[in-house]
Amino acid sequence: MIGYAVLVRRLAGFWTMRGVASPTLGISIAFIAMLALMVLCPALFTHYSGIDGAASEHLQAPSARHLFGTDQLGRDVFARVVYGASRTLSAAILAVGVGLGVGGAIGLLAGAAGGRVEAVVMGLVDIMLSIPELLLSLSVLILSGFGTLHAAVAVGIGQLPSLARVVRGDARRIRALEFVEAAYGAGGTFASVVRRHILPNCLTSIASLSVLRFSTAILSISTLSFLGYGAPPPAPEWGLMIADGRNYLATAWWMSSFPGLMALLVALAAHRISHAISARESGTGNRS
Amino acid sequence: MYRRKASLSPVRGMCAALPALLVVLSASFGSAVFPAMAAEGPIQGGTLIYLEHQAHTNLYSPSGGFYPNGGILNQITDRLTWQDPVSLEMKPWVATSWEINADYTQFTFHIRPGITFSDGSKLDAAVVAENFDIFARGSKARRLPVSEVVNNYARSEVIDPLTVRFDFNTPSPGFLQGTSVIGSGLLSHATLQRSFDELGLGTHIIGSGPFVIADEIVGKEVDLAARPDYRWGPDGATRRAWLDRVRILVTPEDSIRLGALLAGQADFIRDVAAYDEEQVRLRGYMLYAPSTRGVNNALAFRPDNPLVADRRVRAALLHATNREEIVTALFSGNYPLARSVIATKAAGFEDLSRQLAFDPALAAHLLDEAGWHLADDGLRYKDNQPLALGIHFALPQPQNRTMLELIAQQWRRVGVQLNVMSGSTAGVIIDNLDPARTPLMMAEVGRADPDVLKSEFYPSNRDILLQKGGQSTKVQSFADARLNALLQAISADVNPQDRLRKTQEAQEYILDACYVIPILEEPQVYAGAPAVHGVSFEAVGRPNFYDMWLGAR
Amino acid sequence: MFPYLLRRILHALLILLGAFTFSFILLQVMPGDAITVKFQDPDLGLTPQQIAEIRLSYGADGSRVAQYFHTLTGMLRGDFGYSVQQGVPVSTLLRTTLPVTLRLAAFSFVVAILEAMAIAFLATALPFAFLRRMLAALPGFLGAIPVFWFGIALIQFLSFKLRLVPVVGAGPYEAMILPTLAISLPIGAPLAQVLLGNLDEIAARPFVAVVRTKGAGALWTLFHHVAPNAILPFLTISGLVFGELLAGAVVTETIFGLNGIGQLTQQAVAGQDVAVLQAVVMISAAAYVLINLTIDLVYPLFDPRIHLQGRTMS
Repeated sequence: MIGYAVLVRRLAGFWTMRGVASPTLGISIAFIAMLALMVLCPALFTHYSGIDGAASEHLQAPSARHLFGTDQLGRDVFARVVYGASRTLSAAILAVGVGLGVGGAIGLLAGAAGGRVEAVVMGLVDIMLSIPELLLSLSVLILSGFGTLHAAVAVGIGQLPSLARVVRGDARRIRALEFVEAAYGAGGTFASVVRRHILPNCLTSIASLSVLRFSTAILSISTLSFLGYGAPPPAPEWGLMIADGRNYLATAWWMSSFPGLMALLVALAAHRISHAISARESGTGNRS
Repeated sequence: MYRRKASLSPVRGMCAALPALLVVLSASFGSAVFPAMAAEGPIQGGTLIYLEHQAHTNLYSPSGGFYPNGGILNQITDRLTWQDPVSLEMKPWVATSWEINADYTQFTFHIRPGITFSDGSKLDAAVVAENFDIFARGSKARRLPVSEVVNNYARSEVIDPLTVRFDFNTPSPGFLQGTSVIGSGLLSHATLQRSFDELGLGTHIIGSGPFVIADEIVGKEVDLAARPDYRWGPDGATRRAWLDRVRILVTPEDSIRLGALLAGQADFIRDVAAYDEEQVRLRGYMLYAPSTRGVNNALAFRPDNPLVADRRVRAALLHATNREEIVTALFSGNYPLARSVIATKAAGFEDLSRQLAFDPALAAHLLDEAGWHLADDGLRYKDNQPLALGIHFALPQPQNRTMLELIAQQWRRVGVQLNVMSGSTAGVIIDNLDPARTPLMMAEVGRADPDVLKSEFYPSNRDILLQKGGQSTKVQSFADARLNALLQAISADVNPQDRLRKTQEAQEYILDACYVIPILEEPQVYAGAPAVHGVSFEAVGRPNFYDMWLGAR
Repeated sequence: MFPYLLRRILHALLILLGAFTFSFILLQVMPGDAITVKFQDPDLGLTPQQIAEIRLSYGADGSRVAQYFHTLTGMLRGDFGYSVQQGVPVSTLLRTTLPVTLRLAAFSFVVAILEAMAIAFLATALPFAFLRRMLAALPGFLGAIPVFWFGIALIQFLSFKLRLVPVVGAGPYEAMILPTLAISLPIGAPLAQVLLGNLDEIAARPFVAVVRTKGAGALWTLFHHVAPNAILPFLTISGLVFGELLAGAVVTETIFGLNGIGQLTQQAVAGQDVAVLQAVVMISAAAYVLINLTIDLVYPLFDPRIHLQGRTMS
């Protein structure tokens, strides 16, 4: 059982001997750090614009001049990947934020409360779960209008019910533990018990879950783009680039493959980090 | 051999060149399959696999403007007349001959005897009259909409079993050509009794065409079977279709349609993207790019929106658009640069390209003059409002989103922001009816008659500029009575020469007012396997499977 | 047993009603409708008045509450209404599309489970540590590939380049091969992850150590003691993943040109074909509820530790 302080220490522990001892974990963290830099100062990585291009240089294969080649409008694909990082990652963070923020809160409170409240809330969650995630996202998107952030919210709402359920499971497990009952016995109110005991003990699994859902969110946004519900051009976003580039797979493979590769690397790094978080929790150590 | 083949269009020219090409091809493949049949002429039989981009939505003839609908209707229905795709002359089909009175208010058609619908019922004067009564008036009870090609219709009269006469309230010189379009495909009496909703199911549609819909899997596949008893082809042809069957498979992904063709899984495909043309050519497959002969692919202004109400702003945007760059970067030789509002092969075309020149300096000057001044952020402002315009990209038009992205780049250089928007199907339709939300809209329509201008611009037709009293209830005040009078005159003028002259006048008027920015002449680009012969298209670029045949593969 | 069963069934019915109500509201508040999409077509050149008349003729102007009960009672009678967009009864559409998707779902579910098992067991049982690590990372990798991208790449390579399987004009079973492969990845990857986690967790339990000290080999222990214990919770989760197949079906059916529920859904969303969407929601909700009910009822048979009274559906 850990508290906030312990969680922070554990996350910080990635930089200690034990964390760096795993090269894959080190690489994963370095990769995420590089992405963060891309988001903050994209101009460090490329001198091309992510939006403007020279139409005469369209559909060029990767070269020293254009590392990832150019797209159908002569825009540098590498520059679009770099400039797209901020939009893509903030969308993914927003999606996970909505999904876990709202879904997690619902699950936590339901699981912690138990009884009738839990039954009713989880009944509502079950109703949402019974509607396919994609349909839920699409409806929200049609209602709210198109755009990267709208798509992110839509994906977040799609993920909301399943996340509510997972977190509720955790909260419920912890509620049944002796020390929680002891806390109530010692005069703790519902709010204080949730804040002091149940939430802190759910945090690790929430953290590992959010890292995992992060890459799922990038994929889901990409799928929405593929189905024609993508953000309006010309702002670069990886999901949209993968979806649009698919038509050129036979003639200009680089257009969708490089943003796809980036999304893949994000997913792998996220999985590695998520695994490290949960491994520390259960104490089973590192596997990969 | 079928005598229409005598005339050589560019497309036909390609067919004529085919034997030579095949010899080269077969030599390179080292097989002896091809050469013999090329010289021998059409072979009867075989199943053609045709990959279509989208599923059809409705097969009520007047819905034929949508390509997938028209592509099927063209095979299963016949029309009174046939428009020669090369000379654009009107020739006989179901009607062997016709008379028109001097002021074009009375049209008498003589029906070819012996024609039957595929349900066995006779195609006679009575059913022709019934067809046009419904096309012209629609049917509220059955939700059948009115056809856009039949205007000012008064009544029909069956004179004898094989003669029918149509009367019009005002001169309607466009009607004769109107009888030749896919939207005037003749349907059986039983079909016309159905409601609009029921006409979505292909097997409900009974025509008299060379093919019948034998089977259908909604949204996925339509199987056409040739009618063995078909003897009434266009322009006097008396044979059945060469092919036995055509399987129309809906394959939405561009890369899959093309890949399947090149891998030998399909014979003929619609909608080849310009960037894929190279692959087709390199593999020795054939590309066909029939013109749609109508209003060019263009950006149309909605002058009701105050941002584009000023002619100078519209003119500036026209001159800020580098059309050559668009065509060379994104398209191919099959997409000619637009030289007027309508295509070069359209009736009444007038070359106005000098008015469409790319001139960013002039554009900047015009914008300054109109009071839009460049600010530090590179955009132009007037009363603190930026010159930012929204447009929805049009899904059916080739590479439209990419094209608009490029135009946005070009306009940004003169300080104008073009926001390319996307939305749900219904959302886009609703937005496009509101000039405040969409000061611009993509326009394009195919029809080989001067009436096409009226179809596109007239308030009670497509109303592309959104005038007051037209399709939209959101328009505040914009209306152009002069334009409407011109368009009305085209569709009412009885003298063919006068009609063409008025069409030219209308083009001049539209471009003088800078109502549209014509970009390119939109073709329909198809690709076919080397074994597919006799490829021909009707006047606006839908394939005629009637003429096609399959050689050895 | 019976009160429990009754309660579960009642709960399931309540969820179905809830799903219906929720989706009905969601579909009603969307901007525009199927009539806009179908009749506001510039080809048809209808005036606003004419469109209003058409809307009236569809009864789309009646009160929302009346429509709600009309649709609900219709569904209870098995009448799913009429597709405005396609012009056929929804039941006709379902009759052709449902079997395709069920076939696709069944195949990919089986393949996904096989994939997951193969990955998980190999990642536990392979001799070299680095091989095990690589395999353990595989689910994360596979789960991060967009299905549509993978599907197109599969077609380009297996069908167009190697010409192993045709994509267009294939027979009903032949046409399933590539889509099954494509869709099984995103389903199999999370399953493999769960199974791996279970195997790890059980391998760490004391009884396994006891078995090992008694001289049992690693493989023998895995197959006789660890695997059986790991599979039960795994199957539970598989049941839930089944519901996610629909999202996969929407994408794969579009790419492979299959006319299943997925493609129908995609078209219905584009055309805002409310009747079709409502039917799709109800079908997937019914599938979800049924699967959960089955798991709830079957689970106790396998695991006597579960007290029937204490379990809720989730």
